Order: sequence, then C-alpha cells, then structure tokens
Amino acid sequence: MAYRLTLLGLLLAGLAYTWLAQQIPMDPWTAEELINARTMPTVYGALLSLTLLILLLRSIPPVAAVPAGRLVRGAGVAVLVVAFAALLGPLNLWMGLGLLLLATGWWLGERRWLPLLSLAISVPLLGFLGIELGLGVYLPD
Amino acid sequence: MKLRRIASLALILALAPFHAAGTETVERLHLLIPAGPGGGLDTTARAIGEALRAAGVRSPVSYENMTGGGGGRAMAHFIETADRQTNTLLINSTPLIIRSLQGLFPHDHRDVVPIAGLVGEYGAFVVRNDSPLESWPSLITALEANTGALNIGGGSVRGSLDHIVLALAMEASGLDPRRVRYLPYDAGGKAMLALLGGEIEVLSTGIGEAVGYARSGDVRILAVTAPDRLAQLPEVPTLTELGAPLVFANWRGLFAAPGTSAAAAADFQSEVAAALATEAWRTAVDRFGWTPLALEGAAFGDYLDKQADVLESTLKALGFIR
Amino acid sequence: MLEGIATGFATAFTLANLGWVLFGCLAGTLIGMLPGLGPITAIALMIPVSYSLDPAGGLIMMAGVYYGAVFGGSTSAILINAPGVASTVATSFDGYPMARDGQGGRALAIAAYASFAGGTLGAVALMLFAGYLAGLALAFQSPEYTLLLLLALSSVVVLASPGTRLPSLVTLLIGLMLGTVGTDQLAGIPRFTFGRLDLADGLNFVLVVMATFALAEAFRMVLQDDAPASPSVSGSQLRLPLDTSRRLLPVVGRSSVIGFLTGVLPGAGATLASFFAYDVEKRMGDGSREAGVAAPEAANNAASTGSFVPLLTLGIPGSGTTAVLLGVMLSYGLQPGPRLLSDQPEIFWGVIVSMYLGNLILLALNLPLIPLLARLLNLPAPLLIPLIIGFSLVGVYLTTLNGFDLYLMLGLALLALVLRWFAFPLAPLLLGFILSGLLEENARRTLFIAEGGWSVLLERPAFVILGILILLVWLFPVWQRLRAAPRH
Repeated sequence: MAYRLTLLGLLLAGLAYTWLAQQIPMDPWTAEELINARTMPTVYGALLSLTLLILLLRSIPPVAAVPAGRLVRGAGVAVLVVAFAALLGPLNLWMGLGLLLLATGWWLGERRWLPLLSLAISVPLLGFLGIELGLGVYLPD
Repeated sequence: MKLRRIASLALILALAPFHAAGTETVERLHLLIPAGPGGGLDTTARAIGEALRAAGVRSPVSYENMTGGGGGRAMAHFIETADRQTNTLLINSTPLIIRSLQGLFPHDHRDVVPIAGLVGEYGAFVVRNDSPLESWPSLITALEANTGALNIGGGSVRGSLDHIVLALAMEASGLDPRRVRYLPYDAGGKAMLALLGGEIEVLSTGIGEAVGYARSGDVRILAVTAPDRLAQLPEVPTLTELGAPLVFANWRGLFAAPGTSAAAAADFQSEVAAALATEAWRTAVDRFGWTPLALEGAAFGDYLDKQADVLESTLKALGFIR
Repeated sequence: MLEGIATGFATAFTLANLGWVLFGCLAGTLIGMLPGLGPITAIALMIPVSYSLDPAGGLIMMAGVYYGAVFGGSTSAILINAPGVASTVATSFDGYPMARDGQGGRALAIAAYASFAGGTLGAVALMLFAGYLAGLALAFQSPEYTLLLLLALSSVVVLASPGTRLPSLVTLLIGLMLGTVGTDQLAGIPRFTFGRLDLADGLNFVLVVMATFALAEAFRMVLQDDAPASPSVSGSQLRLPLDTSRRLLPVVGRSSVIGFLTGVLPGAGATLASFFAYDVEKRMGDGSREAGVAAPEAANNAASTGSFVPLLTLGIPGSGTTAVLLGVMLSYGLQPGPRLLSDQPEIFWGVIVSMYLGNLILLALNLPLIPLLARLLNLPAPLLIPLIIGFSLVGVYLTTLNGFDLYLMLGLALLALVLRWFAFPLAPLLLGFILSGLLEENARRTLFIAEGGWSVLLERPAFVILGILILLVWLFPVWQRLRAAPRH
C-alpha cells in the first residue's frame, strides 16, 4: 500500500512538474528555437510519469516494515534537524551544532554524559578553531 | 532533570566566547562578495582588501562569499541588514545592473551607496587566426549579406554581458541585433574552446580572456570596446575608430550600505583612494592585466546611471524586458 | 622531452619545493575532509599562501592541495557515505558498504593505493601525450558532449540489473529534474524557482549529495538500527593480500586509462570518469567491492591529472578546480596555453614532476592516518548518527551560508529515504542531477548548430563513434537475453 501511495505521489509530482514546465516564460529568442527552455523539462516530466504508470501496474516488491516506535524516533530526529536550522539565526553555527549533537545523541538513547558532552563540545570547538579561525571562513551572524 | 539543565548551561557557557568573537571593532572592514571564491569578482575583492590593509586604513579585513540568486541574495542581505553593515562594503559588477533591469532581483544600484569604481574590462570580438574574416569591416560585410550566417558565441547566457556587448556593437554597425545567432557557453574558457575547435566563428568576450591567445597567435582580436587603443594591444582598433561608436566596460566597484551618511561615505572614499595608490594594488592590477577605472563616489554613480540607461534600451530592443 | 623531464626534476626536487608539496598535500587532505570544503575551496583558501612563493613553488603546492583535497573527500565518502565532491560519489557506492561491514580500513587503503596508481599513471600519460591530446579536447564540441552524456546516462539505467532498470530510470529522471531548477543556462530564464532567490542559482551539489546520501543514510540507520559490525581496525587491513592486489592491478590500469581520457575533456571529466570506470568494472569486470572502490578512485585521480591537459596546453580550465588554478597561474603572470611549454618549460615540467611527488607523498601521508580515521566507525550508533547528521548539515551550511537550504535538504533526504526504502537506487539520481545542466546545454547548442542540416553531425568521427557505443549499450539487454535463452 505504502509503495503504491509513494508511486502515486511521485506521479502527481511528475505531472505537476510537467505542468509547471509549460508555464516557464519565454523570451523571443528561445521561442523560435527547435528546443527551448521548456523542452527538456517536458520530456523529463512526461517520461517520469510514464515510467511510474508502468511501475504502478506491476507487482509490489517485498518491503521491510518499519515498527511504529522507530518511526517516532525518525520523526524526532527530523524535528531536531528543523530546530537546528531554525536556531541558526539566534544561536551561532557552532553552538547550534553542539546542541544538535547533544540532543540527537540523547534522543537516540545515549545516556552517558561524558561521551555525549565531550562530543558536543569538542566537535564544534574543533570546527570553530579549524574552519572559522584557522581557515578564515566567514560566517554571517 | 537538574543534571541536564546544569549540563546545558555548562555547554552554553563553554561555547559563549564563540559568539563574542563575532563582535566588531572600529577599524575592521568586511567585504561582501556576491560570488564564489576564486572568480574575477572574488580576486578583485581580495586585492582591494589587501591594498586597504597595506595602506594602513583598515585592519583586519574579512571576506564573505555569498552566492545565490545570481548575486541577488548578497544584495538583499546587504540592504536588509544595512544598519549592522556600517563596516561592510559590497563589491559588484556590471551584471548587477543587467540582472536588476531584467527583474531577476528587486534591488538595483541606486539602492546602495556607490563608493568607487575600481577596474573595468572592455569587450573584445575575436576570431580564429585562420579565419577568413580579416577585419571588423569584413565581419560586418559578411553579416550584412546574411545576418544568420555566422555562429557568434559568448561566455554567458542570453541577455547577459557578452550578448549585450555584441548586440550593442551590431546596433552601432547598423545591423539588427535580434537576427544575430548568439550561442551561449557557461564560461569564457568553454566559449574560447568552442572558437578554437570551430564550433563558433566569432567570440564576444572580455579582453582578459582573449589577450593571451592573441599573443600566442591562436586568435585575432578584430575590435575592442575601449575608448582608445589599449597599451597591451596597440595594433587592435577600437569600435569607435571603425565607425561604430561604442564604448563599454564591465566595471567592478565598491558600494556602502543604504543609509550610510555622507561623512561616512566620504571616509570610505578617501580610504579606497589611499588603497588605490598603494604598491600592493598596482602589483595586483599588473598581475591580472586589469584596466583601472578610478571613479570616485558621485562620478561612479553617474557612470552607473548612464550605463543603466544604455543597457535598458538595449535589453528592450532585444526583447528581454517588455 | 628528456631534457624537459630533467628540468622538471631539478625544479621539483629543491628542498623548498619538496617542503611545499608536503605542506600542500597535508593542508589539502585536512581541508578536503572537512564538511562542505572541497578542492575548489581548498585551493582558493591557499591562494594567500601562494602569493609568498615563486611561481613554480606556488603551483607545486597547489597541485598538492588539489590531490590532497580529492583524497580527503574520498575519506568521508567511504566512512560516512558523505562524498563532498562529485568525483567521489562513485567511491561511496562500494566503499561505504565495505565500511559498514567492518572493512573501512581496507576500503580506505584500496582508495589510497588506487588513487596513487591512477594519479601516477595519469602523470606519465600527461608527460608523454599532453601535446597530442590537446587535439582531443578540441575535437570534442557540443554534439560529442551530448552523446557522451547520453552514454553515461544510458549506461546507468540499461546496465543495471534487469529488475532495477525502471526504478533506476525513475531516480535518474528525478535527478535530471532537480538539475533543471534554477536559471536556465542558455536563455537566462528562471525555472521552477517559485520566485525565490534561494533557488535562482539552482540546487547546490553539496546539498543534494549530503541530503540523499549522508543524511538519508543517517535516517535509515535510525529506522533500521543495524549497528555496523564492530570493526577491528588494525594495520593488517592496510596490507592487501597478494591475490587481491593482483586482481586489482588490471582494474586500476583500465580505470586509469578511462579516467585520463575522460579527464582531458573539459566539463564533468573526473565525475564522468569515475562513473564510467565503476560501471565498466561492475558489469564487465569481476564485480567485487574491492574493484568497485579501486576503479572510481583510480579513474578520478587519473582524470584530475588529465584535466591539466587542456589547462596547460590550451589554457582552458576543464573543471571548477582548474579554473581556480588558472586564476593562480594568471596571478603569477603566467599565461597557460600553447606557449607555456616553450616559454617556461621549468613551470610546465615542474608541475608535472610534482604530480608524481604529490601522489607519493599523499600515499605516505595517508596510510598512517587510515587506522585513526577508521576508528571513527567504532563509535556507538547513538553517537555516530548525530555526527553524520551534524557533518552533513554543517557541510551544506558552510557551502551556501543559507538556512533555507537546510530545510530543503531535510525534504530531499526524506524523499531519498522513501525511495531507498522501496529499493530505488539513488546513484542514478545523483548522476542525473550532476549531468542535467551539461546535457541540456550541449543538446540545445547541438540542435542550434544542426538547424542547417543534420548531415553536419555525421561528418564528425567522434560523434559517430559515440553514437555506435550508445547503440551497443542499448543492445546489451537484448544480447543478455539471447545468451540466457538457450539454457532454458
């Protein structure tokens, strides 16, 4: 079921892409050409939709099931990634990285503070010293 | 629970100095570069930064390469955070004007404060050494017979610099620029390869891309868009003397954030002027074969306005803006 | 020529220049291992250092930085499935599974040896044939590129095992579609950007590869929890058994030739080379994982060397990296091109000889590092997974400095996770993404030129040969079926 739904979702995306390709604005130069800014996207979109249709008609390959608990763990990690991206503004990259390492490690079941903290402190510190100070890569605040 | 809180507090304390390292001191200068490391704009930025340091007017000088949106992201960032950018200069070049005219990003050169035009690069029209096109007039004659007969290449997309210079030159020679077949390549080097390999007959590019090949005898430069003959290419005629009055340079220059006071802008200008007089800057100009532009403040602003007018009418004629 | 080689050795073997090769290799390797920093950034960051050197010394150091950074990228490709450079993507196909089976040290060692061999063979070829090969780069114009790219794309679909051909086509097309986001390379029109400036330059390569490979893999580990077999990394993994080396020797030889020839062509040289070499060895060779690591590594190093052919002989940079190197050469007042060899032979030969040296030093430098690096995999999963996630996120952020890209990356990673879960191969997605722009640009130029008449194309020998090769690839499944038929 999930497999068919995925294919269906991809098919919809492919059709939407093909439709969007027809909305690409054209300048007078491009329009006269044999193959223009819309051509390749249209070909890709149409081919993708066709391939997906064929796959939809075929039998479903065996797929390993994911236990619900695992899905929650995965979703939690995704939330932490979003939190990291959102915190980049208020925090600084290295602080955010430290928190991300700490929180993700904890969420995935590491309960020993020593390895957790040493990782969450040493990696950002090395990154800061090596990349920002050492190589002079400038990070926006 | 308590333990966790203490630990995170400790983490924040441990990392706190990192944040403090970002605070600004009075004398520092930050250069915002709307392009990746290694390109022409980046090279110019690092050269002027080095010259500002050598002149003793700014130190330290830091660089930020902010790509994205064809330079639009750096522009937008600079304007949005203008109040925090009092020690920052933005470097930019002709595509800024072209892209904002095309509506590819919302801002244009009038939204920032022009400080100085640093260097300019003139356009050149190049053919292979064994090409039957002997001179600019013979190229025009060939195109007059059949405008679509020749494939003319350039190192950037349609409606951008190399194409526009070509269109301006065609127009100045009395041809319809819309009928010329322009083949874009994604870099000047690739376009040069196409010229050498025979895929295109004529190449529109910056002089810097062509001068080495002209010296080695692989290509001939038919004409340049400079006002007078160039010292490095004394035998190459200008379009103006060929009866096609066109002078056009791809400039690179510095801008301050919007809202910069007149006094602060004047300070920036005098600092840059001091930098342009340094040995470090002269060495860089020699090294890269740049043509100094040396336009200050208001003069630079006027120059940009004039170029924007010319570009706007060309882009309209070409159908790139309606 | 002999005289030239002697000049080169004299230039490269001064104490100072030896020191600079060593420094360059070390700096390059270290920078290349950092998230998001590839050879281009490594070279650009070393430019200020190079200003204080004389031209020969500076270029020799830069060649070291280049090789070092390429090798550093292979390290993260093998250990955590995070290839930071397009040319090391193929290395991760077999290298990462080896690492997960506790063979990380072995995979890194094979990569180091194969890189060394590929780079050295490439340097020999460069020395012998540079002058003649300039013609090859010139003969390859838009029509030939179009077919070469089609060949690469067809191979990845058609040569896949029969059951995965359609899924490969699906991911290939998704990759090609992702590659069309951004400003159109020919007309300058924004496509699929939804009016966002963040998308106007297209999706960044590092973003796509970190999302679909590294981040998606981290998520898969969270969902599937198969802790890698705790590898006992010892020095013994570094020594290859004699029969393995004997088996890999022809692989490395073939791949180096493919790599060097593809590398000579300006464009996606090293990446195409590594995919071609991988395909050739997996479909036509013995198909072992060792060969799957050795082939792309030998090929991409030979290709990196090959990309110096158009740079040194024509002055045309074939890749982003050689473009930055060109900038370095110009800053010394050197004009690479046909006259470099006659005007400044000591530079030309010095750079070539330093390539041998660079490869040798790189090998000596990296072998002792491998056990240390492979130990990273001994970390328990709850610590390793956050590290991979952090590495990929920081890598993307350092590349684009745009928070928006992190959300985009998460979305792509989840898409890749779902695709992988249903056994869709992801390699075609990356290949499609990398080659999308090149394919479209060249195809459109070809048709533009051919508007006058198609017969123009048939007069180009390389075009015809490539066309026949593509036909052969497409006939491969038919041949496979015919061969299998009598057994039933």
